[in-house]
Amino acid sequence: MEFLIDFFSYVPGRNFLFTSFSFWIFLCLTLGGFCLLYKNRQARNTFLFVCSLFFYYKIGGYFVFILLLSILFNYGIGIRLETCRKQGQNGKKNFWFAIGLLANLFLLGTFKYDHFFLELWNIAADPQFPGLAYFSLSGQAAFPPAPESSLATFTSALQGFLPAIGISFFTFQALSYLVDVKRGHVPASRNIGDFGCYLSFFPQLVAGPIVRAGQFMPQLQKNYMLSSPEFSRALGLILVGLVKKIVVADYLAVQFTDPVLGNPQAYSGFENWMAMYAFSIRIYCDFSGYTDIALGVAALFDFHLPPNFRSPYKASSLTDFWRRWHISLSSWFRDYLYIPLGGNRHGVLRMGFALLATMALAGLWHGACIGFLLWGLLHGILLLAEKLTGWNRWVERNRFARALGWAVCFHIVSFSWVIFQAPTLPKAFEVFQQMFLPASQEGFATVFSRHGLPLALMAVSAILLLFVKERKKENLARAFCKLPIGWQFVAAVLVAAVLVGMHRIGSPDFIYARF
Amino acid sequence: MKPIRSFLFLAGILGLFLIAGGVLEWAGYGNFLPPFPKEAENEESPGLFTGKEAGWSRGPDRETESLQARWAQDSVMDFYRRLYRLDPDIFSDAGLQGIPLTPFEYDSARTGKTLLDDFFARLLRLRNPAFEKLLRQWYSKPGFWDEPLAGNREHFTRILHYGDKQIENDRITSTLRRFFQEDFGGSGPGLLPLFQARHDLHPEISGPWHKVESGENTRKGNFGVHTAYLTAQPLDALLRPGKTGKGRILFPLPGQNPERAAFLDLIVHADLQASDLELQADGRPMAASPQTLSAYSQKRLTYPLPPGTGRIRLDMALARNHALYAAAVNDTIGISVDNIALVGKTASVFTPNNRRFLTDQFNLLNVGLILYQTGIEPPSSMKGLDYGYYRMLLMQDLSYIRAQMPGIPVIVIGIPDLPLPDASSHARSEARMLREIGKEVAFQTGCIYWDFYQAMGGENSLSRWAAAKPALASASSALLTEKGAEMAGKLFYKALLDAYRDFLLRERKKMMMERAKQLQSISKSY
Repeated sequence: MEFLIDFFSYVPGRNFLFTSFSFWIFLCLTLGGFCLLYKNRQARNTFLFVCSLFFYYKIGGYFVFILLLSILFNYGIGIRLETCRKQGQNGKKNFWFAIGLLANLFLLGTFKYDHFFLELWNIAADPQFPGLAYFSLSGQAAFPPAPESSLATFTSALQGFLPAIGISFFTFQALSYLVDVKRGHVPASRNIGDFGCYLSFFPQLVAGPIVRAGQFMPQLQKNYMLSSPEFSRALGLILVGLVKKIVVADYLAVQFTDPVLGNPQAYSGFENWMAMYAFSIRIYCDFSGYTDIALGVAALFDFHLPPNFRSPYKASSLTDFWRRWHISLSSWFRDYLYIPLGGNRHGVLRMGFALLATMALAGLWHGACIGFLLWGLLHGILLLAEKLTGWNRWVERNRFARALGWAVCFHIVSFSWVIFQAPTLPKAFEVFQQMFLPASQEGFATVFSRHGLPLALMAVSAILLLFVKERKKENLARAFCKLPIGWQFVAAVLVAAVLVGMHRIGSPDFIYARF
Repeated sequence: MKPIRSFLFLAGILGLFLIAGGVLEWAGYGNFLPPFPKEAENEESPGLFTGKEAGWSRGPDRETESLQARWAQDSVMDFYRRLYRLDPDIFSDAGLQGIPLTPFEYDSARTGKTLLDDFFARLLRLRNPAFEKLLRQWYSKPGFWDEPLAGNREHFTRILHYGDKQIENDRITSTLRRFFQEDFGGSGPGLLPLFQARHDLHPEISGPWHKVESGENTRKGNFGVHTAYLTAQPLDALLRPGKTGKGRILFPLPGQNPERAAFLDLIVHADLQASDLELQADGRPMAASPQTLSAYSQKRLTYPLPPGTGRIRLDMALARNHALYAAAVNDTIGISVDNIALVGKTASVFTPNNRRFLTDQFNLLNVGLILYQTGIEPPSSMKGLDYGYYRMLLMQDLSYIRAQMPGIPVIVIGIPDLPLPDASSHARSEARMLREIGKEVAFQTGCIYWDFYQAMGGENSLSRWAAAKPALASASSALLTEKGAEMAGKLFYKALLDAYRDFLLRERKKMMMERAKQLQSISKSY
């Protein structure tokens, strides 16, 4: 009984993401309920909606109300937009779209970027006017709640948990929905259960991929038709994702990248270089591992989410890299920001502005701090340089050019990850300083004796990521799908046993779950 | 394919693990499953002191036993145990028997906790000067041990206790000073009260001094740690730019311990020369050439005091730019705890000062920790119960000092229980609002918060304190009696000592875990 109470209550800081045992129990229960309801589409979608809300409650506490507010609001605005579009009332349509856009951005700005704006203001204005924190108790002075009122409890509960987990993802999904409805690309949803399921679908709620309404909503209307090969593929994705996350990403994080990048001056220049490469592998395995699990879990319910990665570290230019990394986000920014700003159709100056603005906002999307902004701007400047010089076309000429392009691109991306992961800019510069002007230097043998296992793991991962062809990976996936179900079960148990053993070492959170 | 297959597949795997885990536990090999949420919280973290191993929990085997024996004999482990000692007898715990603990509260980003840990690392260095080099290596944040002013004291730190009527006459601060100096060394009353009333250290100021003070409508200036300073009369300084006369201050210093060294620190304007000062200790002239440490527009003059000095006389030639910002009596090692009671300056302690000036003066004074006791009286500029305005002032003040001295932790001491003669719910909510604002602003500016209200005992605690024998507080004015102030000091010091012990425990665990891993890898290689 105590376990049940504990399972259904929210405890701040407790992990309920894919690497926790509780999540798999939740998934099992959800599948169990799904088995009873899958034949009735409406009941199925509503059931998944409710489970998604419960999932969000378990990881974000009272922020589930913010998610509900976003769902209700965007649902209503979507209907208004479609009504105005069908009636040819363009002015009203634009008005409602502006309301929807501002409200979503307000939600995002309030719950994610308030401290960032306050920081910028205080730097500029030499704290004369401290920003008003929303839900500030002094703001309630005009209408003081009773001391033990639910409002006081609600606001004080919110005080401690900012920002809302996954808010960037579902807000961007909502924005893409409104734009698509306004343009007439998708019909507005007339069923709150369906719309809620789309916006809050738990496999992709916390860390993507960002799913367009046009990709997901039609799937809500079709019957469950998962085949055996599709089930095996989903299982394979889940197992591969867990291995990437726990065996590779977490191990590298705990044993190597976190200690070195957290205190670069205590390590030699060579170790800092290796930590930089290790972080590149770590962040890819962490994020793509999560995405693989999300895709696999969604597939178990016969929902097919778009892939988010396409071997990004094989890219030979930054332009190519952004077509392979976090595809759902980069395509979102391309379709909803870069192209509306003019894209590359209105001259170099406008293209430059659009690119820099897009990449700056893409950087800020990751987090409300100057470091992310600089990371985005750095990518923007280099992308612009590529376009102006034609570098991205030159590297496709021949093998040598591709190899050179790959080396340059990989190192640019890796250096920019150092800025991305550093808690402060000075910390990032410390890492660079140790890399290029090390206070101490040690030989490979010494470093290997100290960090043998993480370096070996890094080497193996690098080979698998960079040199194994896509066709080979597809063949392996097909071979796994052809195995009898019994062998698949054994494989899953063995992998799970290894993961349980490694998980006890310590498991950092998914990096992208913070966004 | 029906979804029941997916459900059975997953349920099969989970069930298998649950059964396997249960069987292994029954067989005595412990449960290898990741703990369920409740278990995870109740699980004792593995420690070298308890003899439990990290990760797998199973009965001891021969290898574990030999490792544990090795740990017990290892000299490095022993060194860590000695360095991070937690024994009660090494702290002044005898005076804190029976005092309840109200721990510090930190913001969610743990900024305050990190800063406090840095302060504790410095305290560790104060207690263990012999291990200076090692501590420098272990706590090696860039610039962490660097003094902003070259040649400044490295084994001395100052705690500034800002407050209002609550801490007048050295209340609360004196208790903290006693405990800190017993445990970490140091001597002397610290900053002398140039502008505040102190029945024990009341200075006699005579001569054509002019007091310049920050106020409601003054612009930012160089006011210093007391938010005021003494200088020559402005008209005199203008009309007679040479020396305009002498000002005299007599500082009585009762109760100085003749066995402990003491120095007089004067923080003065950079233009003031040592020759402009004449100092006497108990009637005997002091050294004419003091140790000088200069900053941009001010400097610190340090004079050694003869042991057991009971009275200091300072004569200063008053002229333009001859300003006296602060005077302090303390040692050059250990801790000084300074009482700065600023009545009517609630939430405007730091903001009146120019940035560079404030930073320099804090560096000259070796400030290591700030205690900020928010006012029980509203700021003088506040009209009525304007919570937004109070919040804004407090935010400005705290964010200013946090921005100028980001390495110094600030502990905001909350408002205590206030007298509520009519005990109406409206009056209760006002006091609660002020407390919550203080806490909220503290967290938003990365400060630490200590809930004095909770420490006193919560609702109606003031009446209980007033009714105690002897009385600890005045029921009508919320001011603490001497005994009450002593109790408040003990409550706070208990919280600080608890945080310090937590720091020692964490550090010891971290160092010993690393050493244990080294020993384990050494033993495996044989």
